[in-house]
Amino acid sequence: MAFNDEVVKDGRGVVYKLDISLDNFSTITYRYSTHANVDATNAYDPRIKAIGSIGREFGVDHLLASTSFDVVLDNADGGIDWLTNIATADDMLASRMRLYIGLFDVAAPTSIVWKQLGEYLITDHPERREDVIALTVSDDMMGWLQDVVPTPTIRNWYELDANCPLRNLADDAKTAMEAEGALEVCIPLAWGSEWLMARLPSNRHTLSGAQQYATIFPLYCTTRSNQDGSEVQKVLADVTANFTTIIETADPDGRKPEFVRHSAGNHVHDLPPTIVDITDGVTELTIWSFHRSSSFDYGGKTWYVWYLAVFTRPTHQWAFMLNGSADRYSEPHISQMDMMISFPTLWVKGFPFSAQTITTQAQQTPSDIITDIITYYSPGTVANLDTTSIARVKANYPAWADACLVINGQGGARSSLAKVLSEFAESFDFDLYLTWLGTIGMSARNLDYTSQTATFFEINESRIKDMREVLPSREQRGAYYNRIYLDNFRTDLPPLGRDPVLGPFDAPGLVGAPDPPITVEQRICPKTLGSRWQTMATWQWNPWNFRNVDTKVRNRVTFETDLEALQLELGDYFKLTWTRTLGGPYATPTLFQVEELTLDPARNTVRMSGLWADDLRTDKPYLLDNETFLTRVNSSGGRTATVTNSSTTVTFSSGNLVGDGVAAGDHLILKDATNPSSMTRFRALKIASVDSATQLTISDPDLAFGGTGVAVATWEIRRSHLTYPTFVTDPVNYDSGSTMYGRCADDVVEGEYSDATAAHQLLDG
Amino acid sequence: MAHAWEVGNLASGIAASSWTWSNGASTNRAYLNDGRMDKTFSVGSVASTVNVVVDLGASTSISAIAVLNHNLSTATAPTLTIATADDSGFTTNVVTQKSTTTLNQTAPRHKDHILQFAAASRRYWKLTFAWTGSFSMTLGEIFFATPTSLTRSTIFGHSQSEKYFTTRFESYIGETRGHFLAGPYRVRSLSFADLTASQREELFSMYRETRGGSLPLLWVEKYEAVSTAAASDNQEVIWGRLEEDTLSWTEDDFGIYQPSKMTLTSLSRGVGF
Repeated sequence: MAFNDEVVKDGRGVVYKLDISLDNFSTITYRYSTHANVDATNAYDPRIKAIGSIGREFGVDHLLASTSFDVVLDNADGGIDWLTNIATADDMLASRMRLYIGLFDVAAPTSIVWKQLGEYLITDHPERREDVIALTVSDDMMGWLQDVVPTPTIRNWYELDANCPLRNLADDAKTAMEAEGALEVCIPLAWGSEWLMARLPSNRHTLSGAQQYATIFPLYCTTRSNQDGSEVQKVLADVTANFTTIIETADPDGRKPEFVRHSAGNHVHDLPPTIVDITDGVTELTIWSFHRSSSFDYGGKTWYVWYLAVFTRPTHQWAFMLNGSADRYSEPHISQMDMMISFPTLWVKGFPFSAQTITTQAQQTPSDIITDIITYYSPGTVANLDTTSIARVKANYPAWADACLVINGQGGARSSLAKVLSEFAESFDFDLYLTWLGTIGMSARNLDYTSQTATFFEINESRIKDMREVLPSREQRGAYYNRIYLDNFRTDLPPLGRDPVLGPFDAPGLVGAPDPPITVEQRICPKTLGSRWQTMATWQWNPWNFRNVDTKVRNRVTFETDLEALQLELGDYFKLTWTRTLGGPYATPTLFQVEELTLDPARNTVRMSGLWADDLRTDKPYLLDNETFLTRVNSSGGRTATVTNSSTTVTFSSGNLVGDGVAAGDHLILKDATNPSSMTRFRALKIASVDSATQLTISDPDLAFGGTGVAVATWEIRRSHLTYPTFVTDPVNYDSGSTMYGRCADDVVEGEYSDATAAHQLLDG
Repeated sequence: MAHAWEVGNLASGIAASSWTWSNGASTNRAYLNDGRMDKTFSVGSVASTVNVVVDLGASTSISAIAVLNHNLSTATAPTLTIATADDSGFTTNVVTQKSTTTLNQTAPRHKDHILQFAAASRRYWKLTFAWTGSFSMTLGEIFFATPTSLTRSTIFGHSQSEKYFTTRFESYIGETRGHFLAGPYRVRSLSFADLTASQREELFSMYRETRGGSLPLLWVEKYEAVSTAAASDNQEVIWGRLEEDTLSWTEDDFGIYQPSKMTLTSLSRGVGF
């Protein structure tokens, strides 16, 4: 018995219960409910007198909206004075609560199915009245997101990592850095292929051994403990700075050193990371290298710092060539190679960076990064995530939708984790929301197969009350727009970085040919989209091509309905029928996307709103796996197909199979009404070849058709996966670049339809 | 027919360990005298019979015992017998205070029963429950009482009703869906008329004892004080709360008083009733 099965039934009993924990749900200390005996194992004190409305809605700035409500508990006997007593204030402050709604068959009230309605903290402290205690609770997830986990400062690294290379820093250099406050800056967290500004570097110091000196640039920190051999290549895509390379000759004649080469560039990759001693042609000496520090504990986590070391070596009497370069410096007395860097503008560009779960560039979707942050760099865990909805959004992002994010970096996102996630979500057109369970869900306007083939929740007049419908006004959520500006502002980009605002970008057709017509009363409706964390590779593109935006005019319906709506989460799609008995406006089921859900426990009703999304069904019909698009031809018009036992030949009474486009690999589906339950003439057959306008050959091994010359009146020929319709073959139904999802009747993959056994045969396609 | 009433379970102060069930059941024994019948004690599955010995701590005069919010209405041929003894082992001076009584299983009187007998002052009391086959009995409260009888009955035409708590969703086209919250609560009007001064004071004594309805009232529909098995009518009891916070009277003839009406609503029984 599942909650969703019960909630659709009429006359179900309804109860609520509240679990209160003082130790983050390692144990439940108090159990309160609306009724006694709601649990066979644990005793619930029936003290709940009232619960306020519990809401779920998309928040401003794409961030989950906090919800709070009042709870009134019976305290006529003083049994819950612990909520207000001075001596137990610590317990009250430590309280975390989980609220549940339970449903039961009134004939069997001991079997209650529960649905969790979130996890909450006490916000307004409880108020003791004559016979009750009233308190206000708020969802706990917002509490989790208030603070990003503190990252170590350079000083933390210096002091906590016994192997920190900065420990070799000369005293005067350290004093100088302390005076600048350079040791107190946070080492950033970073994800994605974006430029990351290195922190203020230490001055030159010994790295290992008296002859090796390096300048250390702490780049970013991570809690990722594993490291494989290709880490550098995967992580460090590029480093940029104002480099000046100096190679000096020796001073054989007692003269001052002489420049023999002087190069400058923006990329460290302009220089190979090593040089080779040309005296033996083998010995490699490092110019720059990328390192991971030893681990050290800080703030309850184990950290590693990745840093760039730029080496300067006394190379007296050595000769060098640049490794991999055609330039050879054969002068026998090169004395020194040095690389000067204009401090502090050094930048790196890479891929997974601080990520724990991301190891390749292809994984860097916003879903991946959100998962990584919440799981490893917030007070939360993966248990705080609704992995289903996050995966659903991920499936909708194209492979090139690389994302990036820098936290606690110079110019990067700071302050609360909530703000970080808000900026990030705005840049990638998704919403974070609170699920009923209390976890973080992710929603976007999904054009993915999964969301379109699910069984939609359907609602009609019998479940509607107080219906209201509006076109969202300007600046409201869901409002129409046809001109986009990108708020692109970042202060932490390399020289020649971004302009703060890009645009306008007008909707296709707004300027020039009206294809498609997109104006509303010919008005220009601008909208500014945050674009701070779009990667360099994509921000330059027209947002109409790569952002999840559209020009549709969408209206919002808001209405009250039954508890059945608790099956829905924000971002889900549902079908609405609202005929008003006059044939409209939604005489046929119309798709909407849930934007708000508010449960009123006092009345056991749900108020919900949805944004029109039926274009998913009309503009993207292939997403619905509409198999009618696969049909080549059928038996309409009295056209029969004749089959014979042991014969691979099928003849047709009329028509033109060639003209119908029938091709090898298609499937002939016989639907002989005289034997609908057998496999003789109610089955699918693979077409081997089209022999003529009225004859084809099948390749099925089972040629038992139950007779000779049997005419089948009902049949159909469908495309196979080999010839699925595309935007080329069926431009009416398929957007440019689109194709049909899924496969069916594939006789190669996994052996389906591989022989004549009944288990492998196919009844009616 | 006389009514009777009681406020306050005479066993309310005893510890959970004072309830000794013959099958050893001990979980949630405190629910048996916690002053509310919605929290139920479960004796577990028992074949045929089970008893509980109650140690009141001292000899206490008792003339009725009510078993409230039980599920014996779903058992086969449930009976209850009440006995006393001078020792907890029930070997000395064992007296059957109330003969084996077949419990009424007809709604709405099927969940609460009272057995009344001549007052006996004893420390050890034993309630023996029996039924046919195996059964898992649950009990909300066992109420030890010495009910006070009223010399005047309620008037002809008094009423009883059953009250449910529900929520209902009604669409704009009139389709409805219901949600069950709780019920039925038994509601009984207590209407009296033409009382003498002493009868009036009996009624006001009862009302005062409830502290204006703040304490629940055990209402015995038909008073008796015999040891023989109780008839169905004599088993009827309502444990509820008076709704009125004011009781008044008027004198409409010399020495004849008309009290205001009271309404008694039963207490909650927990989930699913």
